[in-house]
Amino acid sequence: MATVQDTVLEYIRREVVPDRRIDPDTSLISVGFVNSLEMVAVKTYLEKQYRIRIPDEMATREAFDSAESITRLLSKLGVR
Amino acid sequence: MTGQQATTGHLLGIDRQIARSGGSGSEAATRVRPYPGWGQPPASLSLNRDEVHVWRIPLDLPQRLVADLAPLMSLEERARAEQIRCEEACRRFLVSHGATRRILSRYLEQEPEEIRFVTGGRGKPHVVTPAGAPAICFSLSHSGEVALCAVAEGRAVGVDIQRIRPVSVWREIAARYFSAGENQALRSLAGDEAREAFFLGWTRKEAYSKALGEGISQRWTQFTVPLQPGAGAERVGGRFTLCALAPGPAYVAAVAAQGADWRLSCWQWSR
Repeated sequence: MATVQDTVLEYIRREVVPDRRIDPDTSLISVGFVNSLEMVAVKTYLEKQYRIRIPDEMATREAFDSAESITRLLSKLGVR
Repeated sequence: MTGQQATTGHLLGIDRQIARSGGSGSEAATRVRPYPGWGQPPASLSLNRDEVHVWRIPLDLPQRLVADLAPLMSLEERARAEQIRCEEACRRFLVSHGATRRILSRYLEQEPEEIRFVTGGRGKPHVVTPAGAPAICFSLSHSGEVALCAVAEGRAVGVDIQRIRPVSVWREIAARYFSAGENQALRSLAGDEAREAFFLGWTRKEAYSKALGEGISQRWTQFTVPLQPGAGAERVGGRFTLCALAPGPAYVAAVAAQGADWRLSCWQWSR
């Protein structure tokens, strides 16, 4: 069964930065991979996937900086 | 309208008759005249207080041109560039930041490498204008292989560009961040037309939001922009004016700036 981190990575690789090597700790935002719409798309996809609501105050650029940090954020919201 | 405005004044060619008869929401929707495209800038370029300039920057430049831009970076920008593992992403970062420095240098009477930036609230960068220099405001956006840099004097400005691409959750994003009127307009469209309308709406809302210095929030549901190609909008109260841009096939973009008394010029950046 796919882990949460696998799901996050799979979506990022499919829709956000296809054709690029993305590891769990690859910094997405600080290297300009993710613009604001891409970040909102990741957030919205995960909300739909896990039937949760990620509060806007938790959806910081730091929290969405890598698949690892996104997985930590989801863990805080009870997604494991 | 003067002859010059007729040829370059792609904007504020606002037809208020259309605005009143338009069905895109309660706010004053407007239609922007088609414009001739992205011109080559003259060697000496002035920016009047009633102008907004938008520069289109191609990001996939040959390595020799990228090498010319790299030395213009600040220590912080160099550190960021060194963290980028993907060669293509690193090149695009260096070109967007290097080109922005060269562009701002035209207006600031400063060398590109001397320009300093400070980060304001919500992470928006501002240029530090030297004493006696014009109060230059700018906004930078990039998507795919194109960046846009909007510049104005003494006038808040915001620009956004998006490459039209697959976003499986675009309808959910619209449901959360678009107004009721925008969602109604989207429901009347299907397929690629609907997705393009979403991207048009997004760029217009984000350009306005960036000009305001705000982030993406639930407040986005409280204002309406037109979703049809080639349309622009004027905000209620007339504090900001929005103009659609045509950055190239498969891309959509918009610029917003404070006030309604400005003209737009679009320039192609080459070096």
